[in-house]
Amino acid sequence: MENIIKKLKNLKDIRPDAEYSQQSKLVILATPISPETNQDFEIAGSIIEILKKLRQIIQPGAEYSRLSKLAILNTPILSPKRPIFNWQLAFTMAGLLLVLVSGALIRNSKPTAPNLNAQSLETEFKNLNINIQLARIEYSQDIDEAVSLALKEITEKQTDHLNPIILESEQNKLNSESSNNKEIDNLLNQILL
Amino acid sequence: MKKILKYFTLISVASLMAVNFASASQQQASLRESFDKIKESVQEVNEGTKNLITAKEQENLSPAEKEKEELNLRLEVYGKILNLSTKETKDALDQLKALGNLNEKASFLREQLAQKFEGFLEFYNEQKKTLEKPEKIAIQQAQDNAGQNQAIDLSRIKEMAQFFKDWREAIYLPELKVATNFLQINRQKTTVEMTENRFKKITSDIKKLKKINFKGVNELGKYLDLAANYLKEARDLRQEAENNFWLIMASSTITTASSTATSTSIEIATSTEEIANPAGDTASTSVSTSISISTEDQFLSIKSLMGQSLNKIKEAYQIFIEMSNFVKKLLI
Repeated sequence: MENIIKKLKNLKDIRPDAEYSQQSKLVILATPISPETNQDFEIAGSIIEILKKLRQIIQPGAEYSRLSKLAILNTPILSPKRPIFNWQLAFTMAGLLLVLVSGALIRNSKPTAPNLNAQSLETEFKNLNINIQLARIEYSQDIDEAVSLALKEITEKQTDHLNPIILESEQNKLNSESSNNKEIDNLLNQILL
Repeated sequence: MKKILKYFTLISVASLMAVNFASASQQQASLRESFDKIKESVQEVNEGTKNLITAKEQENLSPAEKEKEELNLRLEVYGKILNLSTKETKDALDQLKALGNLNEKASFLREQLAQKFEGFLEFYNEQKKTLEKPEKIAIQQAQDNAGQNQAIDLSRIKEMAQFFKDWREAIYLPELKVATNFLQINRQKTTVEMTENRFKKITSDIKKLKKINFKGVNELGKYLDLAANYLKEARDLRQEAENNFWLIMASSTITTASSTATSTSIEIATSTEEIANPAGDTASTSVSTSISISTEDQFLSIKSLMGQSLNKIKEAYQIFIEMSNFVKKLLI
């Protein structure tokens, strides 16, 4: 429709002779226009009808006819409009693709037990400090012994020869002497053998 | 709407648990640090005692020189004892203050104990000040130079040590036993809760593995049953310890009797003249008689129960780690 109107506008620039102009005006005005002719295709149909009638009644001048043809042929034909890009559809498709891909990945992945991770279990156990708590329960006795023995040594003039600190110290001394002896024995064995 | 409320409650509970566990974890770290410091102090006391014993056995010094050295070493060891006691008391006080989620009864006891331990710290400070008094050192020097009356100072430090020994046995140790048991019971409560939380998480993992017919899921179920048993035993042992503890508290007069004695002792301790004949002796005797042998046994039983409960937790974690290794092998 837009194409036809454009062609007619181009034809307007070519002036027909006065008689042709007068007769064609009369034909156009005589053509009945119904109120329902608001649809594009109906208007186009009326125009074609008018043009057919004009052809039967009058013949345009040779020059006008040639120029009209040229104008019609020179009018560019509008290319059909491209369909608008559908974003909604694109997103839906992308979503569907994502679901399919992740579904396939999940199906192919190995079973996991994240709460049985050895490293986090060991860290958690370490943080519980169970060994420290156990050691503290036992160690309270050591604190008491250390303080009691020290106070006893402060208050008494003579030392207690069964004092565990003395006994431990003497034992360490003996162990150290015994280890020296072992070293001497080893050296002697190396020389003799 | 109901669903939203349900999720909100779940998120709130999870957040609270996370905060609780984070604070528990912090407490556990400080537990290790303070324990190391106490061990160092014990070592220092033992070293000091060893030096004092060695000095006592020395034979190459004159009697005056020997007594002078012994006096200095006695003062040094006494100072170390006070440092150790301060660390031990402060450690107990810090732990008491850090305890959370206590019921009314436990909260009341915590406040009572904390108050007493603050008093013990003041007592140690007074004792330290007595040792550091400059006039005392001046007198000491004058006496050293004159070579006279040294026995008076030696006897004074001996009296101070004897008084401290009596005070410690009659007042401090009974309260320390109550505090130590109270702390262990409450710490173990958090430990059991954390282990239960881990158990629940592992159970949910096993359920998921069961849904996909994981090949070793039956074996994992057996492990889980074993861990559940250890966890139940740990929980029951701790509960038994807590029940026994409150039974002792209900029948014992420790906390009421000693509070009067503590304040009396602090007043006496500031004056060296009074140390020779401490007026607090009567109070101390009344406290020491209030702690019966059966109470001592009950405390020992709590200690044993707590030890057993902790060992059960250890065994539960051992099972968790075995389960982890088992799953790892199957996934390779």
